[in-house]
Amino acid sequence: MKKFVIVSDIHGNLKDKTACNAAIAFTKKFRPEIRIIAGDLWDFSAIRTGASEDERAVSMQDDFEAGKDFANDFFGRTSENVLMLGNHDIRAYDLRDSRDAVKGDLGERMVADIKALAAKHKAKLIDYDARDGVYQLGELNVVHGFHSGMSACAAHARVYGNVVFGHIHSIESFQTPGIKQKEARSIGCLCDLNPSYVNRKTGKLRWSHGWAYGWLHEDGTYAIFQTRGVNGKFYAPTNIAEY
Amino acid sequence: MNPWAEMDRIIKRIPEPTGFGWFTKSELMSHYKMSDGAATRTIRKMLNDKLLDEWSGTLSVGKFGKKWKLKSENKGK
Repeated sequence: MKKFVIVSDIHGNLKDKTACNAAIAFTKKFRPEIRIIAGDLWDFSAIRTGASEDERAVSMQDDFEAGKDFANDFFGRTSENVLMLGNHDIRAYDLRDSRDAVKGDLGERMVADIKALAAKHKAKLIDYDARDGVYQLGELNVVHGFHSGMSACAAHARVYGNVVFGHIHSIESFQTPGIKQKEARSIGCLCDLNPSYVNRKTGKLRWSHGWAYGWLHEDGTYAIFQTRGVNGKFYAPTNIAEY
Repeated sequence: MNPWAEMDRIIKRIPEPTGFGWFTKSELMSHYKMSDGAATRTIRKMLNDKLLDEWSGTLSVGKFGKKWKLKSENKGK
């Protein structure tokens, strides 16, 4: 039996320090053999296509360093580490295709830095790709997330079966009806719940801080639990008993 | 080279100045019928003599570039 922790959506310089510190403290105490960052470790809003003046004002260096600091604290020396890319992280990769040669070169160097961070922790680097961007944890699939909106969990369950994902920043679940039920869970985020770019979007009112953790059995079955932040406090039982 | 700091420099948010007196090297070459090398040397000398204000960043055409303005143009403004 192996213990695992899955966190998602740190968003670099937009990370919520209280939520991140709680997730790190929990992980250090829980000592999981498998540690997964399920995407959007960085925000990279400054290089978003069509970024506004305000978005370009965000320092890429601060963004990268903030995400890197989290990964350095989260990953263990002997654990199986997984770094998944999300739709925000992938902006650095997309920069390589820029028609501006200077930006293209910088994109290459940024990707090299991301790969170096993964290599430092012997972390498996998973692409943000609907087919290849899946990490299998026994019978549980982990993806960053590809659907959004009210039916995001249902859409992920239809495509990926038993799946955990981040992306939508909320804590939700959906079970498909059937003889063999499939469940999709979105596990919340560790970033600012009120970034300025969603000031007038009601969707942010569903966002929550949280992470998932559990036990993976040798036969591929698993037990998974959700931690949710309430007023900056996180409670997570760390013992399991079989009945 | 740190690509993150370099990108910050390139997409620095100080918008391209378009007011009176600001010029690019191309405009200097065109106005005084100078070669590229002559314009480069002229600008470098004026910068060394602290006669120019310099702006660098992303030009409105989307490319990284520089613009200069005579310091004397700033007087009284």
